[in-house]
Amino acid sequence: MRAWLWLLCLTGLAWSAPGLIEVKGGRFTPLYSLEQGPNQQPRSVVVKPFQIQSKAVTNQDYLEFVTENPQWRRSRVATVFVESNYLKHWQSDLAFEPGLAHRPVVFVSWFAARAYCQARGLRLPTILEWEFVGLASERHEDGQADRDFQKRILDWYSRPARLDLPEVSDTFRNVYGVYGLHGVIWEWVDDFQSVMLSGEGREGGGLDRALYCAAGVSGSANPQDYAGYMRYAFRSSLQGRYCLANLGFRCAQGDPSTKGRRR
Amino acid sequence: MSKFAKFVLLGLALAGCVSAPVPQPPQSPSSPRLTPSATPIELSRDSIYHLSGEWQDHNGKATELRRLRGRIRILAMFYASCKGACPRLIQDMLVLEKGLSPVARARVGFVLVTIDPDVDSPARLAQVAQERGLDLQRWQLLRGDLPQVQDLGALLGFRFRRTSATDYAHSNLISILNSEGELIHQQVGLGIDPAESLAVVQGLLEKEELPACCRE
Repeated sequence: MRAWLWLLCLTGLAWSAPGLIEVKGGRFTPLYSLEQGPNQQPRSVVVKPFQIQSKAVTNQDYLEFVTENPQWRRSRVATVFVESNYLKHWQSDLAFEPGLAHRPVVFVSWFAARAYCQARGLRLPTILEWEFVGLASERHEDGQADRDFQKRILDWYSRPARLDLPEVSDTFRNVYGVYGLHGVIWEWVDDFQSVMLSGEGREGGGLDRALYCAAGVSGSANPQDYAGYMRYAFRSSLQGRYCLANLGFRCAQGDPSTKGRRR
Repeated sequence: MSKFAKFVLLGLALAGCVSAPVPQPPQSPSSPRLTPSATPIELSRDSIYHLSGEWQDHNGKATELRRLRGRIRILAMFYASCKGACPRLIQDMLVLEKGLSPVARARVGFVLVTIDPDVDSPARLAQVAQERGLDLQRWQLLRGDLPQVQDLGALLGFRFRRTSATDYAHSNLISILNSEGELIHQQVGLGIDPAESLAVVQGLLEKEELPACCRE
């Protein structure tokens, strides 16, 4: 009897730990799309239902991961997967200042973020999923028409990066109940390497050209979406090993495959 | 407009903060000597062969990246139905192969990894090898599940995305790996003069011990 109770307790914990929020998905036109229609305009896409963690992964969460997975500790990690400043803000392999426990973990590479999610039976969200749930304001699933909301996002992006990150629950909460998607940290996405703003990657050498002449905007759905453009530009500049002071992540779950269709 | 320009600049500044060129070629530590009887020496921490996961070769045989260890590798990512860039990329690799001396050629392996694993079956990869006249003594064509392909791409700084049901936009990169699987050099673009890459391979060959197979 007691064993049963334990089991119930353990499974309960395992389920509640990831803090997943159901997002029912839907159709939207991303700033850049995997498939482009005539005139290189992105087509609207259908995002399938998925679940996403309501809060960014914290230092405390990440500590549990490296405790269970020694190969991801600072002193042991394969340097091919992380830059030298991996977990630079920690004091040692398994210690950080107590005040950091509930703040988002940063200085983690894409490989590390991916491994964390995998260890929890999850995965990183795709760009489309992230952008879809990122549309939501406090009151509306699609906050694009909410000028006040858009202005606040822009204000966040134009402020210098904060070094003293807030606790994950002490951030903006959107209508789905997802915290801190805007205004706290940048977040890793599973398919960051699919962002190539110049479009014609096959000719080589020109992948970053869009960044230097703003040509990237010409293939986008909404040239007014500055914040969106910045997110894509940022993703296009990343390498999988990068560990940055303001780049963290959260995990997702569900079958991510989407189909692009003409409107 | 000026507001727009401001944001582009901001984006630029952000990109500037983090834009390092392709992954830094690691300073290769004294490369472990390959001795036939010794227990396997721990893999270098800078080796891309830390990527675990199962791959299939053009014969449908299961393999792991780790098994590429022990030989200098010239590696590129491609897909079979690519009509424009990939044939030229393979051609560039053939130019490198041809540019090596017969002795050097025997110590270098060539690897093509597909980014289109749902379509490129082992049989299709074998067909590419045949069509392109690849010497399967030296060439391997690999397919693995998409997450593995993404991992490998991220390690090499290779970017790709689907642009239609059958096509991809992608970087054109030929990577030179030492026998530990450390990224030493990348040839970026198509139709590049092979001299620099050949010099890198030659330098590596001189630096690395002859593998056990080829001593005496």
